[in-house]
Amino acid sequence: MFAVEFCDGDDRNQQPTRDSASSERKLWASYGPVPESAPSETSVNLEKHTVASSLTHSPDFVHLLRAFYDAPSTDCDLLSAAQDIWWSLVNRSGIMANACEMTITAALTAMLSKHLVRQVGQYWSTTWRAHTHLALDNALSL
Amino acid sequence: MWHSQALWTHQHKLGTWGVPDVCLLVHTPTGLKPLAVIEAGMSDSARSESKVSKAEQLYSYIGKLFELAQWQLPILGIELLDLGLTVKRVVVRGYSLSRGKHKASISRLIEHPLGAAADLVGLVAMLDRWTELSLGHLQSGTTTLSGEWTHFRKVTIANGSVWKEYDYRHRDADPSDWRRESQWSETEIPGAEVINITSQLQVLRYPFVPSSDRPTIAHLADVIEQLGRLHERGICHGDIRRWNMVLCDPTTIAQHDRVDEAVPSMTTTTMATMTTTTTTTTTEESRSNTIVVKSHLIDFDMAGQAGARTYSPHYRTEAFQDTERHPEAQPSAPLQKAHDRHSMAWIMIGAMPPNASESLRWAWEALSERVRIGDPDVNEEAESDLDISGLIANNELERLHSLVSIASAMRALAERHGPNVLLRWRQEGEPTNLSPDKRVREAD
Repeated sequence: MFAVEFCDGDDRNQQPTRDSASSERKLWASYGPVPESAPSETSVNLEKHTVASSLTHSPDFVHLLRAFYDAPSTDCDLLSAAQDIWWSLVNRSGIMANACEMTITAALTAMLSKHLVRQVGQYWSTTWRAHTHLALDNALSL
Repeated sequence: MWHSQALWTHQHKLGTWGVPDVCLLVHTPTGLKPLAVIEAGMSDSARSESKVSKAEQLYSYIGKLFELAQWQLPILGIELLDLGLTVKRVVVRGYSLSRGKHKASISRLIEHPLGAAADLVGLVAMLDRWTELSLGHLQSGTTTLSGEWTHFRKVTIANGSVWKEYDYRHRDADPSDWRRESQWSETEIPGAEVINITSQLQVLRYPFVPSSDRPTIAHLADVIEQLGRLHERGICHGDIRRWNMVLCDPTTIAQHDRVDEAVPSMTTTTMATMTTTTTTTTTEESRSNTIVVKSHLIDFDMAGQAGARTYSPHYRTEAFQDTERHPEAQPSAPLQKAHDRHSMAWIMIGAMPPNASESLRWAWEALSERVRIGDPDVNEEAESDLDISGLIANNELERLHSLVSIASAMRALAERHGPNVLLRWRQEGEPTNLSPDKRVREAD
């Protein structure tokens, strides 16, 4: 069974709650222990740490680009969800707020987790289990 | 066969390294593996002391995910930028580990205006495809080879094919500006296919056939005949170099299915109903036709109509090891057949068989000179009545003009002097360990 699970994490402006911390431990458990030497900030020098910026020549990249540029837009349900998000974006134009970003990314995640659901051959099948505490009902009809 | 479970996270803390906006992960037998990370911003927070760009955030998150998940496949990093502004943007990069360098290789896939809901649909389609490809790699166990993205230049060799990009998406160039063209590579390189992704982005793919390490007169004759037939159609190559020749024995190869055809991808039906079966992953492309590949030219980027197509404004004319340009072959000048023939003659002279007998040496020099000064507008048909063997025997090679006829004379010479007469490339100062195959060098 190839199932899509939706996890809503901690608000970046809040301390983790007992439940969310538990959820986090569960989520990252399969990674093993977190190294002590991990950096505490996200600032990095990309020039120093990277070696390439050119288009990648793996057969994969052709298919990724084609998927993006030739994406079908005939799925009414998906297109409707995308239009809802787009409407939210356009009508929040100019507003700089964490809350706005949170809402948009939450809506995007909900859309992705719902619509990246399909059966692939006989080996994969997908189901979607909606999250329960993401307050998007008013913004989107997902 | 194992089954997987995808996991979407939203604003979920990644240890002490921050809170990625959105992550796509899959459960696998060896643990949870990351496929994509999305960062969104009302603006790209033009970097200030207190903020870092979304690209830097993604680099940090993805670098840590590589470490935590012991993951080899690339991870997609998606930036949704300027969402609060009028002009919104999406940037997608592939992040992969660079073996032995302790660095990441970042490849820009998409930098595109986010102008409508359809672009969000495109993102869904791309992520869907990436999920499918990644799971295909995992299932086939190719997570460290074909699944790895390790390109640093415009050409690479992967899955038995040469891949070359023609990407003009991110340039503010006038459409009338000079561009490299892929169309003649598609028609002239055996098995070549141009994949049109957008009007600004094409990818050329053709089967990789290794060059022979024992080049012969017959090999070079095949290349000269190909150039002759190109000239008969009024087309010039424009970049005749030894490194742009693949000299090989006739080789039968399987030709990949065209990427343009039958590529399984997400359809609205499969997404909505979960009932349609997808049958193929691209890492296991089926093979169908076979083709016979002879020695041939590659790199037709410069090619075009004689007298109409021009050389690149940055056309290099000096300091070559493997060719000599015609004096009139200059940046932005129109291509001419005589220019191609001049370079080909220079290569031919430099390839004089080292063990050539006096008669072969004389004939070789004569044919080289005919390549250089023969009338380029005389075609094969006009010389169809000539007795090539008789011309060789009677020292009358000056009657040859067309490259196709000259190629025939070269083959007659090869038959007369035996098939084991090898060419020798004589370029002053060329390192002996330099691969003669341009494609391999560029892909390294």
